[in-house]
Amino acid sequence: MILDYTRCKHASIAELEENSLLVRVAVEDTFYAAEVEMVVGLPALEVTSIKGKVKRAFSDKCQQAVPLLNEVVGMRVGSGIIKAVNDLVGGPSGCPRLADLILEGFNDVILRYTMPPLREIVPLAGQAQLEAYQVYLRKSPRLVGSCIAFAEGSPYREGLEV
Amino acid sequence: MIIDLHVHTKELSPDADRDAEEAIREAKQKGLDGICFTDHNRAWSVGDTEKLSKKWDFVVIGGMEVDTAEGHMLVFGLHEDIKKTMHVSQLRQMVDKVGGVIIFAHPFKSFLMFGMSDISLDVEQASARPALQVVDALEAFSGRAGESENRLAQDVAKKLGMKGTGGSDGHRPGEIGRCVTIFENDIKNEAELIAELKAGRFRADYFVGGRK
Repeated sequence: MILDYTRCKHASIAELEENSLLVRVAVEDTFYAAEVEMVVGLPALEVTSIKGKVKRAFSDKCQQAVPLLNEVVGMRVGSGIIKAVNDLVGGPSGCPRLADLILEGFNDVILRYTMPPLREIVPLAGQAQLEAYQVYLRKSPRLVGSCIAFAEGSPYREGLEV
Repeated sequence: MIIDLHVHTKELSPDADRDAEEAIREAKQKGLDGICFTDHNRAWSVGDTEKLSKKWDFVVIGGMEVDTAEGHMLVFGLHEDIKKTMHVSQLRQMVDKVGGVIIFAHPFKSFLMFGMSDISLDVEQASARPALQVVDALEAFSGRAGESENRLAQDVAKKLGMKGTGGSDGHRPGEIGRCVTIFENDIKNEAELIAELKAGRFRADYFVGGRK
């Protein structure tokens, strides 16, 4: 038996002129192909529109779940989104794969605002870098414990009340 | 009358680390006059809260913290568990049928999650959130939101002419009463709480220990 399986996932984020982000996520593998495109308003980070399609799947279930994408409109990229998206789009009458694409898109939005300040800190050295990380963590507490650098015992967390 | 409107218990919230009676004991020790159990999507029965109230000679009222697509909502008056995430507009319909109230819990918690980045939300923009238009009040003092997030909630409440409540969102021992709602009149049960919330006869503040 020869097994042949390929999978390609693509995510992109672009800033639109009207103070919003265009987020596109697409996945294509041997059995399944789908894409989701949504607009996230700034600075509220609320989804203002969404569309998507399922090009290929084992069953009709995901195709039928496409209208559920509209449930995401009004949702804010922030705490609680994983449960909300999985409940509303990926639930028993929905499509978990479409829910995954939406969450991937939300993750892109978060990364869009995570990377730039980190890029400014990385070139610093010694005490200056340590202090810059401490300030960054204080202002972005969601990152505490998110990776080994920000884990308990890390010098970056010194003086930080969690 | 000082009440913590937002408390979780081990009985109904999987992420809580303290049971109802411990919470009552702590609330009494800290000088509160009452406590509301608002567990995640699970409702306390009136009978159970009344029993606790009697046993501890303390005001204990059951509510719920409901997950919606737009955020977490504190609800009083609804006595059925919520099994699925819904939109706040759907929750509004359910709550209206029973004459209850909805309070937008920690409306801007984690809103400032991007820290040093170039994203910031001003009062004008924050006030435009559609979900704020369908709730009765918002939690302007939350024990689990940052100071700046609470300040934004207070400013938004002021701008929208809404009342702001206070609650600890306490899940663990020691967290009760960090934020409270101070009512003008005495409250003994859920019906009176709902009436006072609807009438707006209250204010909120930080508390943490001493009586204000």
